Amino acid sequence: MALIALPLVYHDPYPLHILVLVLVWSFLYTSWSMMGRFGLVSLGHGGFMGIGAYVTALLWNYLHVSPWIGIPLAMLAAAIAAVLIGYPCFRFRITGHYFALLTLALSAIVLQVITATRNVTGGSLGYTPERYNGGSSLYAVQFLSKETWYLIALGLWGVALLIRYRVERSMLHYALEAIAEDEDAAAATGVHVTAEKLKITVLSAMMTAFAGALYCQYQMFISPDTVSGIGVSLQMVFAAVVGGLYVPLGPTVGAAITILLTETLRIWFGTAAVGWDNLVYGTLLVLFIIFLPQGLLGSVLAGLIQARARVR
Amino acid sequence: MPLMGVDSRRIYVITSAIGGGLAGLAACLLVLQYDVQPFVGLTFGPITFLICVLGGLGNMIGGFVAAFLFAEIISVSGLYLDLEWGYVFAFGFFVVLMFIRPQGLLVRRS
Repeated sequence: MALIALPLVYHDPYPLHILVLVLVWSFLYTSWSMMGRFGLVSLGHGGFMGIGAYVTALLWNYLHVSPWIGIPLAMLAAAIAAVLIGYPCFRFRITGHYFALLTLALSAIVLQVITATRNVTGGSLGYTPERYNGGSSLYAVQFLSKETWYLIALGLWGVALLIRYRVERSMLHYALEAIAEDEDAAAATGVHVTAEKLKITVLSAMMTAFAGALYCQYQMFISPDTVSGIGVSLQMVFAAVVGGLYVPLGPTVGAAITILLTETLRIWFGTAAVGWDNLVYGTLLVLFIIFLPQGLLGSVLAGLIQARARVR
Repeated sequence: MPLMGVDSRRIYVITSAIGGGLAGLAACLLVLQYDVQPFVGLTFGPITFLICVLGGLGNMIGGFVAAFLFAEIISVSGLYLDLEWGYVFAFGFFVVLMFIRPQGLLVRRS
């Protein structure tokens, strides 16, 4: 409740901007973690995000298709990409490192296609959706006020958590958990391995594309390096792992930590030492991953459960 | 392995040191051809990994063949189209080949 009421009393644009970014990235990390927690380590989510952002923006600029139609189309495109890469992978039982590499190739392909078609997409210089009627419009899903965006991002973040919650209480969850433990045993007990894996991959890809489109509508500027490619894919993996894959709010904590860390370091060091923030950020990530493999929130929650057990 | 008198930690450390050293040497050779920038590792790292897997992990000749094929696809497509399309074709080639031969190019199926 306090989170919803916040923009009514608080109007400072910079903290609101950071909060919106944290929420949008939380959405992305949550959709990655829905796959990642079952051992399906995908490095292709940068590709799905890029598809989501670019399809929406290109449809709007060239064909004047409202994002209300463009975003579902973008999600459909991402779903097709997910099936194209996912179905053969699951059918031929490509798992582990090999799955990660094939999805890595997907995000690399998306990045290179965006860069190669620079006459249409602007290439590595980036791309801007056209403003509609001077700024705020529900039809174009463009809003000037940060407060509106904050509420939208908050609501959608809630939806992402709800989807994750529903999936965790569905048969799909148990099927995928069995597959993650032992694929052959799961198949022997009647789990349709290919279909179940494909379901979660398509769901995750569509959510990622949605978040990519949302990011594009909020920032009004996308470039291949910020919405697609290997860097973005790795960023998703790191942040979700830092926060904790197995707890619902883990990816959110991961997003908050990584974005606040980057911003704080950027403000501290400023332009005097460009690139230092990445150094500190990278070192902290390595430390987190070695010493807190369950993620920050995961470890804290596990510690709390242990402490409570000891009291009893 | 420890039971046979192999100090596995030592072997891991030595192997990583040799691997890292060789990668450094390769980078020195790359500098002759390419310019240097902070993200140079990010542009070559993933491709290296893909080529190793394509050739078959641990298979030297396979790795060489895969590297040759990758380089040729990128360069020849770059000659006719943009260089980026070369990368697109190379990655596509990798994806298709992994579906056909998941063990790598030169490894016989057991």
